[in-house]
Amino acid sequence: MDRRRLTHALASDELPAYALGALDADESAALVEHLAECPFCQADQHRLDELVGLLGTAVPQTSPPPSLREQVLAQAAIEANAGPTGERPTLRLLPGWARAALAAAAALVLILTGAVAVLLYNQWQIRQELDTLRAEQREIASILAQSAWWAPVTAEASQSQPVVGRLYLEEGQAGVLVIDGLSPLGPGQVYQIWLIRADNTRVSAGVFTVDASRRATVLLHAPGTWSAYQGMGITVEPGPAGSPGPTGPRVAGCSLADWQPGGL
Amino acid sequence: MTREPSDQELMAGLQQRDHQALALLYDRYARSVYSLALHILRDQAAAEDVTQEVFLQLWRQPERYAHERGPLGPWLLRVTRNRAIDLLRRSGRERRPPYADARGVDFHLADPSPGPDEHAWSSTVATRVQAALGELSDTQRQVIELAYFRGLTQREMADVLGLPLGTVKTRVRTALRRLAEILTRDGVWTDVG
Repeated sequence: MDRRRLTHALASDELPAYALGALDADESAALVEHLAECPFCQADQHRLDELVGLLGTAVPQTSPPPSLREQVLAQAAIEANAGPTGERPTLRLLPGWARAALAAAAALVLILTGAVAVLLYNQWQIRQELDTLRAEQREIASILAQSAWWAPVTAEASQSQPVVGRLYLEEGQAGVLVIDGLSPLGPGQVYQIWLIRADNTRVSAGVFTVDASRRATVLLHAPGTWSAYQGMGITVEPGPAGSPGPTGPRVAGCSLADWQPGGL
Repeated sequence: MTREPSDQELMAGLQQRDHQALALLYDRYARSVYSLALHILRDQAAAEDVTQEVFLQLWRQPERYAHERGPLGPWLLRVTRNRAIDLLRRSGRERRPPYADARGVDFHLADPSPGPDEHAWSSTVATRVQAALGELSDTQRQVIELAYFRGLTQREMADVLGLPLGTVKTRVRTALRRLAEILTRDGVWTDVG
């Protein structure tokens, strides 16, 4: 991405506005890059963050309704009993006889339709794929133009540059991941995107590869809304479909707690 | 007399899934959290939702709070403020003009009237923070209020206030730096833990 690099003096000037969440998206991104490299600004930022927290005391004090306490503690108790895996939906397999019947039916359908049907299907599939791609491009353009939120995507320590992209979020569940700086992968490998729920479970949000210029643009649809997720991670997985759960090394990610206001 | 457990001890309790630790932290900070959410959102149900989310998040992921980043109270209020502003932006409630009506009225500069269940930091610190805010000029306080309570960026503030962006940037920078100086002078940083 073509973005100005901040000098230390400029970055230091912008830290108060950053702590207040008052920077535009591009200004924030440039400052985040500087912060990743500057321990002085990091220390200053921690102090300003604390100051901004203190500002929250300067409001009229009102007690919450007593029922809220019970509600919070009851919910915490439920979650503690359920454990981290308790909320995961269980996959139920069909009984063996039903699976066998389905397999036989599928084989029969395939034989009956024959080679002509397969060819027609292929043509139809190509048209469908083209239509899907066009629709995707339109949706990506629309999200990038209207996105209300974005978060910087930072690489894990072994990567050469700290910021390797941005995640643009639309209100609701659509988003666009713009990658600029991930290494091209070997054959048979893909990058897989994981959305991280509050309980630390991961949901796959698709796979992608980068081109020779280390770039990619990926359309995402979060199950539920974005507020259900605390972060996003990218791992390297076997292609072409990726894995049911993360198995490879995490190469980049972002915290959705660090959402910044503003679109492009 | 039994000593009250410190925040750090209670956070260690959360790591051990100690339900009682959560209850004590709730009793210590719920009033501050709820008051801030209510002040930003002006909606009791939404403020309750934010309060519940903040404490359940703390319960689910106590490791997200790092002691090295400062005391728990200000950290919780920062999380609360971010969640409330997030909700505000999503609802679009504060996107309608005139923002300028908010001039100088948002921070509570009077006595914070602490409740009986309140942890010492929020009442004593609040008094000093309010006094420090009172030392800022109206224009300096205004930009902090618009950013802090309305979630406006500097560019949006410049539009709303009809000021050059550079002027707004200078005001934000000098206001927050000045506030930090005053609070350092008054020793608030050592009182917040």
